[in-house]
Amino acid sequence: MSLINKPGKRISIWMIIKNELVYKKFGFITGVLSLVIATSGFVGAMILLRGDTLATEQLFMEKERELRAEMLQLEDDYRIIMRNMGYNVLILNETQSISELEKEGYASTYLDYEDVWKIAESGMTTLNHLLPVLQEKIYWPEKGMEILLSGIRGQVPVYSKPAHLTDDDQYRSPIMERVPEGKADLGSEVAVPLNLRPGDIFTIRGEEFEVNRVYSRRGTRDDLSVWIPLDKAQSILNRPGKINGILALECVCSTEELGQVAREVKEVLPHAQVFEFSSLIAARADVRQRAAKLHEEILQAEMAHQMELRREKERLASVLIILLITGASVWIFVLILNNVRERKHEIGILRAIGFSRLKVLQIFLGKSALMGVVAGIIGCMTGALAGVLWSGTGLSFSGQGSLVTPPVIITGLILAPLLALTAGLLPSVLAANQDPADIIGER
Amino acid sequence: MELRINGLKKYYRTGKEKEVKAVDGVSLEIGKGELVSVNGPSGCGKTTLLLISGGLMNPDHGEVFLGEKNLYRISPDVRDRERVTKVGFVFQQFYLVPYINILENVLIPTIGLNSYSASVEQRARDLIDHFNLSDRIDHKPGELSTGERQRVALARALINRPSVLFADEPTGNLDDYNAEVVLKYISEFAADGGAVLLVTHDKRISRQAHRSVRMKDGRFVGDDTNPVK
Repeated sequence: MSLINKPGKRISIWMIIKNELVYKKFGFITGVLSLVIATSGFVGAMILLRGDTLATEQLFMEKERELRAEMLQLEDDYRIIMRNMGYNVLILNETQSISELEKEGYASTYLDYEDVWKIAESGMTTLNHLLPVLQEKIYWPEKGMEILLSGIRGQVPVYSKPAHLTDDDQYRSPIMERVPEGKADLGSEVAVPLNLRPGDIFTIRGEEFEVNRVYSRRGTRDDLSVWIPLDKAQSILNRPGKINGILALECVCSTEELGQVAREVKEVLPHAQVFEFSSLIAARADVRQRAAKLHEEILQAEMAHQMELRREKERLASVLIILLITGASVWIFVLILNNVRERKHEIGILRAIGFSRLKVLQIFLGKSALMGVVAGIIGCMTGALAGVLWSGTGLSFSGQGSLVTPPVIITGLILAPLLALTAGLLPSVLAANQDPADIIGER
Repeated sequence: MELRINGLKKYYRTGKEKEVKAVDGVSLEIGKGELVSVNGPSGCGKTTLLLISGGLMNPDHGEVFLGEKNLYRISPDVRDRERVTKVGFVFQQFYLVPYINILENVLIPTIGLNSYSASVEQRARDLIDHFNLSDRIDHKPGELSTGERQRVALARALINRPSVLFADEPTGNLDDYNAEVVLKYISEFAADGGAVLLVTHDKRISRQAHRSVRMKDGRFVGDDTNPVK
């Protein structure tokens, strides 16, 4: 039963196109196939390139994550190292002569004990491990020797650094332990000659102390020091409520920030000056910066390498797509041209019985467009499938989902009909312009 | 007059300074119900005359009137429309479209005219029935005999109810029986008021025509009116 015998069906250009396609299957199939290859090549290449971009982005995100984790670890390592290396900042009265400090080993001018709390509560983040100290070289009459008497209390909690503090505001890992009430810590040059050991009792200017711990030899002035609670030192030295220095740990990690601490301290304590052991800080910061720079350079080199690879792939894809499109266009052109030649007499009689040029053009362009539409759909599906299978293996599920983008599919769906129409245009125009008299009269 | 031809000339140049006078000053008139045959040997210009008369080939000189319209004084688009509404063609080679069935072949001129309707389809079926092809209605041309194919071509030529039928050697590929059948249908068309221009080299056909014109070297060289007709 033909279509024409069914109710509502009428003879039309579309019916002629469809029946001719069925009649000449080989031409239609090979035409569609060539367009499918071109379209799927285009869609597949686009998806592969996108997959490559996503994979590169994923790689960089992983590398950046690794780098960030490494840098955090490095920072933590430096924090611990810096803490272990001791205080690197000394806050003094602004009238204190540094040369005199270097000469005597302790400051001769004073700060109020309350000053250390002002810094602790100021919200500064660049200082940590604040240790108020009152130091003075004195003659120890009971033992007949000079010692460096150091009055200390526990480190004052810096509230902007809660991570370092316990629940009761004590340092988890203080640089210097507090000296318990009634006790004293001794340097080796004090304890050894006097044969003092932990638990022994001694007096300094009438104040009695029990040896808490004896430090091993350090080769510094600490060996001549006796550490006692701050209030006792203030009493012995007759400096109630006074300290002559605040030791601290500067936790800035960039040499560019050297001096920033001094400015910040000045804002809190206008009558103070800051003595930074800058070379030490700078060296640490420099090492850290070098490590960060090295990581950055590795990342940049990898990125440049990936970009070069991508450019290479884009060049290859462009050449491939151009070849496929050219091949498909030539094939469609040849197919339609051959079809026009084969159907010369049909065109002649159609023109003779009243088909206008436009209607003949519609027949051939319609055939090209139909091939293009069919090929566009199949090509997009096969190209997308191949592209996803090929490039999606290294990607996450969501990454695979985002490989096929609407613009690529839309372009693929437009590309195939456009290609077919362009390639089929000239043969179709030739068909439309054939003179029916020439064809019929050639007999 | 359904068809009027005045002083037609058509010359071909086949080589350097060599000119073939395919049609050389021919005039002819065909009225309603008239069947005119033009006969002559191959190459005498019969087909060229038919193509020009049917509006398919521009003459070098002369006029062709289809009804009141001078075919070569109107635009090609209007001429196409005049041709499809007023003219039917039958050729020796049938020129049927091979991939559609008989009914669709008969209906195909309606695409050019955008005139398809249920009544037109019924007319196609009637024509097919009239030409004894009803049992072949769903067949493709390749499945038909040559006589059947020519009858399909004739039905196709008549689907738009033309006033003039042009037939170029319509029996050239047919045996005697089928030639008689086809000529009978052509004569019927004339008897129903149609005008027929039939070109042939077969002198037997001339006997079926009201008027028979002999042609040689592009010119009419004899004109017989058949008193029987």
